Amino acid sequence: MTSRALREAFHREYLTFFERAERTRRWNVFTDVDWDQLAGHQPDPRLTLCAETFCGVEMYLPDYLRAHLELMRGDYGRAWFAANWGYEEAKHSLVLREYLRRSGARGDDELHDYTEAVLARTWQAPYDDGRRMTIYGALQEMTTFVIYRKQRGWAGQLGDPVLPEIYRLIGRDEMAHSRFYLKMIELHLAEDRDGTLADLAFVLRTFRMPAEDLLPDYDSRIEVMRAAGVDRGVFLAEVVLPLLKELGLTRHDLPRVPAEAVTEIPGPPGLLTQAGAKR
Amino acid sequence: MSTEELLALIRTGIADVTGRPAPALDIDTGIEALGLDSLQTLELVSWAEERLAIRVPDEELATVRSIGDLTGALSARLPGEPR
Repeated sequence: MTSRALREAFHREYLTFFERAERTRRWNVFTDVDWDQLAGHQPDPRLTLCAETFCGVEMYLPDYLRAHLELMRGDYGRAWFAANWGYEEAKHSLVLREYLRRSGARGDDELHDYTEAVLARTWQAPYDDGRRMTIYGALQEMTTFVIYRKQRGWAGQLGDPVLPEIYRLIGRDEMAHSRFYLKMIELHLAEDRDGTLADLAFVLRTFRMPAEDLLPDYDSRIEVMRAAGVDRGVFLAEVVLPLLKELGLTRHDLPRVPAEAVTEIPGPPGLLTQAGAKR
Repeated sequence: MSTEELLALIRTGIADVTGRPAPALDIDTGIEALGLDSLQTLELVSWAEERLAIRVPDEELATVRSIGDLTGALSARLPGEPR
C-alpha cells in the first residue's frame, strides 16, 4: 500500500495528465480518420495481420482494467487514470477493427469470430503489486508506442492510405500513457529508491507483452512483427535504455535479480523475453 | 586481449548471469539465439566491464546484436586496442 503523500502526488500528476489529454490529445474514431481514402484500396495482408493482432491484444481491455482497478481502487489518481486509460485503449481496438472492416480485409462474421476467440481466454496480470504493475505499464506502453511507430512507417512505405494516421493517433496516446507511468515511477523512486530499483530490475527481467501467448495463431503473428522490425534488440535499444535514461538511471543502478525469483516460460519464443515472474 | 580470450570471458559471464553453463560461442552467435533477454544482456555487459575495468556507452549497446558486436565494443575500450 502506498503512503498518503504518494497518493496525493499521484493525484496531482493525474490532473496534469488529464488536462493535457482533454486539451490536446482527444480524437474521434469516426471523423479523424479519412475513411473515404480506403475506396478502391487493396490492403496489404501483412499489414492487416498486424492490425488484427494489435486489435486482438487491445481487446483484452476488460481484463486489463479489472486488474488495474482491483489493485488501484483506493488510490484516486491511479484509479481515475485507469478509467481514462480504458476509454483511450477502447478506441484503439475499435479504430483497428474499423480499419479491418472498412478496408474489406475482414468481414463482419470474421471479426465476430475473432472477437469470440480472443475473449474466450482471460489475461492474468503478471504482478500482484501496484508498483510492479506501474513499471510494467511504463514498459508495455513504451513498447507499444515503438511497435506502432514502426507500423506507421511500414504502412506508409506500402502505400496504405489510412493506417499511418491511425498508428500516429494511437501511438501518441501510448506515449502519453508511458510518460504518466514514468512520472509514477519517479515518485516511487523518490520515496523508496532501493525497493523501486529492485522492482524495476525484476519487471525488466520478466516482462512479456500482454496477451502474446493468448491470441490465436500468435506464432505466425510474431514472425510478421519481427519482419516489421520488432525484436529483443529493438526492445533494448528503443525501450529499456531510453526508459532508464528518462528516469535518470543507468543500467549500473539496477540490482541483480535473484534467479530463484524468475521462471523460464516454456513454449515458443516470446517476442521480447522468455522469462516470467514466479507466482 | 585476443578475441579468443574475450570469448572465454563472455562465456564465463553468460554462465554467471544465467546460472546455466554457457554454450560454445563464436563472433557470429546472436545474442537472441543465446536466450539472453534484455536485462541479462545489460547484466552481461556490466559483468564484463567490471572484470575489464572499462565502460561501454549505453548508446553503443543499442547496436549489439551478436557476440562479435559485443567483443568489438569491449575490445575497443581496452588499453592499447585500436579504436
